[in-house]
Amino acid sequence: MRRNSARLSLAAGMLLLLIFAAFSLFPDAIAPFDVKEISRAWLKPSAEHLLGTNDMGYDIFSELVYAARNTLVTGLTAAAISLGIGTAIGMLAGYLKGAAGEIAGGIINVFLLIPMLPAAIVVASFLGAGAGKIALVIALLGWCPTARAVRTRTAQLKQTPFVEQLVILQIPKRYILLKHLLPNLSDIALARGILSVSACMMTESALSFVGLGDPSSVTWGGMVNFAYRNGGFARGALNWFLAPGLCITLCALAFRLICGYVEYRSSAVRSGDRKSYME
Amino acid sequence: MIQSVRGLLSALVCLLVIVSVNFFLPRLMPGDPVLMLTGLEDDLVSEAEYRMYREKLGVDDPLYAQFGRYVSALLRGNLGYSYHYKRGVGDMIAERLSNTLSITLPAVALSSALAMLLALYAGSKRGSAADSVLTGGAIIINAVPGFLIGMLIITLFAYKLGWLPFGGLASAAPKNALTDRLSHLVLPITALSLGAMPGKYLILRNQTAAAIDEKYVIYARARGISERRIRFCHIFRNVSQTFVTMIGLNVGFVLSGSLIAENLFSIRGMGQLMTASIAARDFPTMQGCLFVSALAVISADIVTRLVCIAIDPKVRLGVYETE
Repeated sequence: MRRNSARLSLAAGMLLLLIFAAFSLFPDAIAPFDVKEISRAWLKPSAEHLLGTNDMGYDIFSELVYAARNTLVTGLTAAAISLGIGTAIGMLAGYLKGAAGEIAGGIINVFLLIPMLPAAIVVASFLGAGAGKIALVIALLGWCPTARAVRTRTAQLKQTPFVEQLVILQIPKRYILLKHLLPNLSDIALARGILSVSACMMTESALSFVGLGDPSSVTWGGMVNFAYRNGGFARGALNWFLAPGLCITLCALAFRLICGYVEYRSSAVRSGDRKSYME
Repeated sequence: MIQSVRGLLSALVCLLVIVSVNFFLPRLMPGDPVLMLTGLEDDLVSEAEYRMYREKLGVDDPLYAQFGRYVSALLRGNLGYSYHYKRGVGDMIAERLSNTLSITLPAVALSSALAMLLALYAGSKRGSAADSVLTGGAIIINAVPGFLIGMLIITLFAYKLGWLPFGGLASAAPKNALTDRLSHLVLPITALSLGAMPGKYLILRNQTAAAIDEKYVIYARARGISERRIRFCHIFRNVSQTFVTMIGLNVGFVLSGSLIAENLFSIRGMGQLMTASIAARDFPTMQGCLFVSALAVISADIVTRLVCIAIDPKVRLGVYETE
């Protein structure tokens, strides 16, 4: 990816994210109606109701604005937890030798094989609905890609002279890992963290779509679920199911675009070569 | 070889993890394990029934005895009993598995083949307009949730244009059973493939784009070998291991997608059974579906590992084992 297109993707991603951040920070200033304010049902989009109303008469645009915070918070929480787990296990798997390293690597390989959505459905339905629990389930099943990237990078760093010298100086492993390797992993951790926000949001939306979302805090995925269940989809009410779906898409895209820039910058700093865009 | 043994081991451990999750979740969660295992509501169960279930499930035995019984039942192919449908979970899944496979297998094959072809094309023309369009498109589609792809495809091709049927797997009175079945399969397979393609495309495209700087490609060009031959004979061979591994891992992703697609397209498959059992709080059925999904992913993984050993001497002879 070249410099200009990298900057362009950063600008586009930031702009999209800014809109959604405004939605989630100041929903009452942006949304024209209150979430539970009832108008006539099934109104078509108009100047008053930008995206029309749903079967209960709620204004869809307002609901969309209010759902932004729930969606983003769930995505960010899940991504933060999975970043923590992924970095820790990835570092151990990449650095440690012998049985401990094998076990850490084995955990990654095992979790890689678990089918994501079915497993999330089973665990989430036992734990019960609740935004925090959903985020936890997503994080516990979604840290694998981060751990793999961190593992590869740690294994590379381990071969570098500066780490070899630390070993010769008999610096304890704990210090090498936390004080010397972790800062060097920050660029890859940042990129993976941003990317996993979008992945977590997608998983959350799929869980909400099959009806496992938190009913008290509606997300975009939950809105699509309501539209699907309550006839919005069968009636072809694009304003109802497409709008939240597009929001998920744009938000996920925004994080991916920003991640593209972060990856470009770190690879340019590292070697000046053109590195992968997204893996 | 060590790598292959390791892979086999992790497949077995993965199965064990799934079995343990299935076993321990209902028993160690706060709440009555009898209600958790049967999915029955507290106030709908009479005292006598409750005692009968408690006896039958053996939840008063020590955990290790229960676990032994659970595993030995699984080994005999007994996936549990659904108190909601009043049927064996294994029978229900067996009935529906063919429907699920008839959309997932073609989707895996189609999305992999297309992703590979497009990736070889775009990657070897790195930086061209075609590459930008394909890669940009893939990044955008990659951000669209699977259910939205399915809903848009149904809205466009079934509702608006009316070209193809929007649900089920057969019409009431088909003229020709085969073409009828095929016409019902087109949309769900398209939706699933479209969801599964971008991820694979992006990885393969990057590998191809990196490969064109390799010396073997430059040398092949210098020998005057045609671009197409370089693409399909030289680069393809070198990315084929990633490709095959990816197909294996993709099975889990497509099964997840199929869970949603089966609902949208009203296909009576395993995914639909699973989502229907969420609303009914039918835990045994859900767990059975998870177990079968995991089994499918793991067998796909083992097959792809064997294929990798067969096609790639680096894997077979154990060179470059250190990642």
